[in-house]
Amino acid sequence: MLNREKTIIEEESNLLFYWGEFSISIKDEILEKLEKTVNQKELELSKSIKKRVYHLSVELLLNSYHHAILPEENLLPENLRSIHFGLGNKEQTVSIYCGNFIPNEQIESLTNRLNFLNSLPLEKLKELYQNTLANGSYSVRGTAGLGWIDIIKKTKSPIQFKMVDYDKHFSYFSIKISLEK
Amino acid sequence: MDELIISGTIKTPEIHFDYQAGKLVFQGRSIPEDAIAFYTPILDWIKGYINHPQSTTRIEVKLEYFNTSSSKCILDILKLLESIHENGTTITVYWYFEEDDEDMQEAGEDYQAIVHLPFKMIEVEEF
Repeated sequence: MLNREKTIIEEESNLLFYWGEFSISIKDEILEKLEKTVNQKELELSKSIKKRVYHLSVELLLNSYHHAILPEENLLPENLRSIHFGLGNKEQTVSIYCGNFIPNEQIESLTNRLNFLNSLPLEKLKELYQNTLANGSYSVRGTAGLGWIDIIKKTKSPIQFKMVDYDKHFSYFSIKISLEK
Repeated sequence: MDELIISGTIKTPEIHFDYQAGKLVFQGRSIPEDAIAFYTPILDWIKGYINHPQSTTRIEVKLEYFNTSSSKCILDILKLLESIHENGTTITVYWYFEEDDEDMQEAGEDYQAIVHLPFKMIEVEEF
């Protein structure tokens, strides 16, 4: 099932695709390539879309890094510390693909969180963001709990995600964000 | 107090805090993996500044991007500076954003809504 998911994402990521091991330096390389890609003149992307694509990609990759890859967390065995990242361009939309392995015991809470945020109208998301920023405290990873709120708020529409079975302990969390051009 | 000058990198902003001039400038990108580690010395400098502020303080924020970890740290800085405003000295936050960058404009408006400091929102063509 994971191979099938990989094939689909690779086909749709017609601008940029990576699937493999992850580290800070790989994250930085992906972002550098991403920035060069979105700035290609032939894509004719507006400045605001380019900035939003970059910002969302930073948040998604940092999210993968903080929650799945940080060695101190030991959430994942070494062989599962990999991610995917993709960028796809169609006539009306630009799509960002990202994903990583997660322990199965985290599936329910993450699914509930994303479904809840996806259900909120934009004004409520903005309110939630402001309240969380004003009143939230730092998580152990310093991420402040704002990441998914910010991602869904900036996408301005529900994000698509799925949990792909891997084994009895881990699944693969795969997300797709689409932005109207 | 000494100036605080930190050169910018591809992931962290340039910081130039000029004590004599009462001018605190953040410029560039703030997308570090560990925002707390980056901003701790900056917060420490601010804690020193608020004990002996200039009669007028100007904060200039010219950030192209900042990640959500940085947003919390930036709020902490602005909250510390609130005390200057409460004690009667003049302080203004100049929040810059590029034209059509509604996300950065909105970020400034979020801070304006949360902190009790005068804000000026300034749209520029490009940083």
